[in-house]
Amino acid sequence: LVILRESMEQEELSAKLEKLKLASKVLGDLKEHALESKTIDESSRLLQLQEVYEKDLPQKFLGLSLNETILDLIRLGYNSRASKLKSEFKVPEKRYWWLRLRGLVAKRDWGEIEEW
Amino acid sequence: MAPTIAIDTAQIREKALADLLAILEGVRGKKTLVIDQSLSGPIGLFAKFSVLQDYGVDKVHWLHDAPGDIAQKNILYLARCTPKNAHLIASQVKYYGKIPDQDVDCSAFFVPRRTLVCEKILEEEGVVGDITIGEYPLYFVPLEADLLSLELEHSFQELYLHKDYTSIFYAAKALMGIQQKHGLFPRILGKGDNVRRLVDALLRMRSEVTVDDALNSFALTPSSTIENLIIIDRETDFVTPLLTQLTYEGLIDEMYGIKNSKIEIDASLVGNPQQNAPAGSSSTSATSLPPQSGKKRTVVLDSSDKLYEDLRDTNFAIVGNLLNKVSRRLQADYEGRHQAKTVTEIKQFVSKLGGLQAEHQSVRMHTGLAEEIMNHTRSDLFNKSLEVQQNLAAGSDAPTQHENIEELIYRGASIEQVLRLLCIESCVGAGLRPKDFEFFKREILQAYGYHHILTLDALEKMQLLQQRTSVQTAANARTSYSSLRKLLRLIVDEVNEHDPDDISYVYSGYAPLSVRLVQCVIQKQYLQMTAKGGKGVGGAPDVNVVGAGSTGWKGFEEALRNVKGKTVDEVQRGEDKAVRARMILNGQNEKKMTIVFFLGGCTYTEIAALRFIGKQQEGKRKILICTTSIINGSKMIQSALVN
Repeated sequence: LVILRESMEQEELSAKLEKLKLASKVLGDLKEHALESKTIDESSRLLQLQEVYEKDLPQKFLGLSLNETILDLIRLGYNSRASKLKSEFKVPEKRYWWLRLRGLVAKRDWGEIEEW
Repeated sequence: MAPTIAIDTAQIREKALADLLAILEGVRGKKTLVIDQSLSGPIGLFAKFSVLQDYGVDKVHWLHDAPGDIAQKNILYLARCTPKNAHLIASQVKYYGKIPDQDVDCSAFFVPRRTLVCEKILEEEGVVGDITIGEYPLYFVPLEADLLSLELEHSFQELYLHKDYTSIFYAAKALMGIQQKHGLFPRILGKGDNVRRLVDALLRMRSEVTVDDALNSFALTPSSTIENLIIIDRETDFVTPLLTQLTYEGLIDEMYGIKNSKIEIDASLVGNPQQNAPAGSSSTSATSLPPQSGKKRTVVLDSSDKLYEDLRDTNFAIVGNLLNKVSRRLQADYEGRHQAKTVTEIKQFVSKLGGLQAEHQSVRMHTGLAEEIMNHTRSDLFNKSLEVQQNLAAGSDAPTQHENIEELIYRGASIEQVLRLLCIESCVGAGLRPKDFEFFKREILQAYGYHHILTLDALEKMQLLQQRTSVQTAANARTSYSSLRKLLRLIVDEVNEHDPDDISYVYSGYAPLSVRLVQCVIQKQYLQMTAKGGKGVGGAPDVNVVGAGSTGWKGFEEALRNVKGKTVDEVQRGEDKAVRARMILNGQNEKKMTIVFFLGGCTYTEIAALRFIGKQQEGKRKILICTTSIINGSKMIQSALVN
C-alpha cells in the first residue's frame, strides 16, 4: 500500500503505471488482498484507456473514475466506446442503465431516452 | 485555596486569555504574531483582535504562508506542537536570518506544550540559538457555559487510525487541571480501551503531584462539588455520529460544518452585516481573521444569540414552527408602537427598539438557514439515505437496504454519504457479508476512483467497515447493537418531537448509545423503566441515586458486557479529615456536578441529548460536557479519505 500511495503522487503517467504494476504484484502474493490486486490492475487499464481517449476527444479523462468516464462518454455521445468500457470492466447492467440515463439527461437527449 | 463552587467555564476562558497576554507581554515592543491556522479559531473564541492590538500585536500571519516582509523586529510564533510546524518555523527563522541589516528577534510558543521532538527538529535545523522557545498551555477551550472542548481537530483520526495517543495525554492533562482546581473526581466511570489509558494517565499524574507536593495534600482530596466523571470512548459507539443528526445545530453542522462554533454561510442569508451583534456577547467576533472572500460571511453561533440558544437543540421538524412563533411575536412587538400614546410610552418603545432589531436580525438569519436546510432535507438523496440509516439502526434486515445504497451510488451521491451508510451497516451488524463487502468495494472503487483502495483500507483499520468473517466474536471485542437495542431501548417508536420526553428525539427515534451509557450512571431508574418497555415517564425522579461513590455502573452490567472495550470504575479517596474539611467548607446541599468527557469527539446531537437530561435533572445535578473535538459522520469518513 505504501507503493500505491507513492503511485498516487507520481505525476508522470508511465511512472504511475509502473508503480501500480508493482503494487498489484506485491498484493497479489497475499491471498487476502487478491481483490485489491485485481482492482489495481483494473485501474492501470483504465488509465491507459483514458490516455487514448484524451488524445482522441476534446475532454480531460485522466483521473476520472470508471463511472465518471462512462458518464462523460455517453454525455458526449460516444455510445460505442461507453459500451466497450462496460463490457471490458464487467459493469453490471443496472449501473450502466443509471449512468446512461444520467448521461442522456445531462445531454438533454430526450429522444434517445424515449426510444430505449 | 478558596472553596470553589463549581467549575466555571468563564474562569477557564479568562485563564486562557491571561496566559496568552502574558506571553505577548513577555516580548517587548511591537510584534508580529505568526499563528498556526488551526489555532486561530479556538483563540479567536476568547481573544479579540483589538485586545491583541492593545498588547502590541501589529499584524497576524498564518504560519503556512510564505515568509513575507516583516515590518517589526519581534516575531512571535504560536503553533501546535507538530513536527511539521517545527520545520516551518525553522525554515522561516532561517529566512529572516539571511536578510541583511535586519535584526529579528524570534520566539516560538508551542501549544499546549513543547515536546522533545520539536526541540530536536529546531536543533537539527540549527536555529535553536536564534529562538526563544516557550509553551502556551491551552487545553480546554470553552465553547459554551456547559461545553468544553480541546479542539483537537484531528484527534479522531489520530486515535483510531494512527493509534496515536497524544490526545489522550492532552485530555489527561486538561482533566488534571480541573482536579487540581476543584479536587479529585470522587468517582471515574468509563467505557472503552482508550478510557483505560486515559484513567491510568490521570492516576499517574495524581501520584506525581502527591509526591511532588506531599504537604499540600489538601489540594487533591475528593471534590465535594463534582460527583463523578464519566468518560465515553468514541470507539464504543461509532454508529451515533455516523447517523445524520436531526437537531437544528446538528443539521447546520452536517451542511456547513461548524468550526469553533463558527460557520461560513452565504452573505445573502445574513442580510445586513451584523454590526450590533446581540448585546452582552461576552465572547467573540471573528475579527482576528482576515476577511474571507467577499461572498462568504462568518457567523458565530453560540448562546449569546438567544434565539439560537432556544433552537439549537430542538429537532429540526419543529424549528419552522418556533421561528414562526418568534417572528409573530416580534411583529406584535413592533405593532406595539401604535399603542404608544404618551411620550413616556414612546420612549419605552424606542429603548426596546435596539433589542428588537437585534432579534429581528437573528430571526432573519435563522429563517434563511432553516430554509436552506429544508431544501436540503427535502431532496431525494437525503431522504433515501436517511431511510436507509433509520432502517439499519432499527435493525431491519440489512440486505434489503443494499438496493437503496446501490442506487445512491449510481445517482452520484457523495462518497462520504455512501461510506457512512456502509459503515453503519458494518457497525450495527458485525460486519458485512463477504459477498456484499466485495460487491460494494468494487462499486465504490469504480464509481469514485481506484485511489479509494486506501480509503477502504483505512476504514478497515479503524474497524468502521469490516467483513463479517474477519470479525472475531470475542467478548468485548465490539459493540453489539442487536442486544443493546433491547437492553437500553435505543429505538423508540413514538417520538414526540414537539415536547420530547426522551433523548431519542435528537435522531427522531434513535437514542444515542453513548448518552444512554451516561444515563446508566445518572438516571438509572428512568432507564430501567424505559428498558422494560413501560412508558417512560419524563423526568422520573430517581430517588435511588445517592451521593458519590455508591452507584457506578450497578444494574447495567449486562448491557456493558455488550459494549466494546474495557469498563472502568475507579474510586478516588483522600484522607477522611481532609474530606470532611472540604465538606464543611463547601456545604453539603449543593448541586452535584457530573462531567461527561467524550474521548475522540462527540456530536452536537449528543450534546443536545445531554442538555436534555440536564434539564430533567435540574436542581439535583449539573452536567458539564467535555470533548476532544466535535465531530460528525462526514468528518469521520473524511479522516480516512485520500484525495
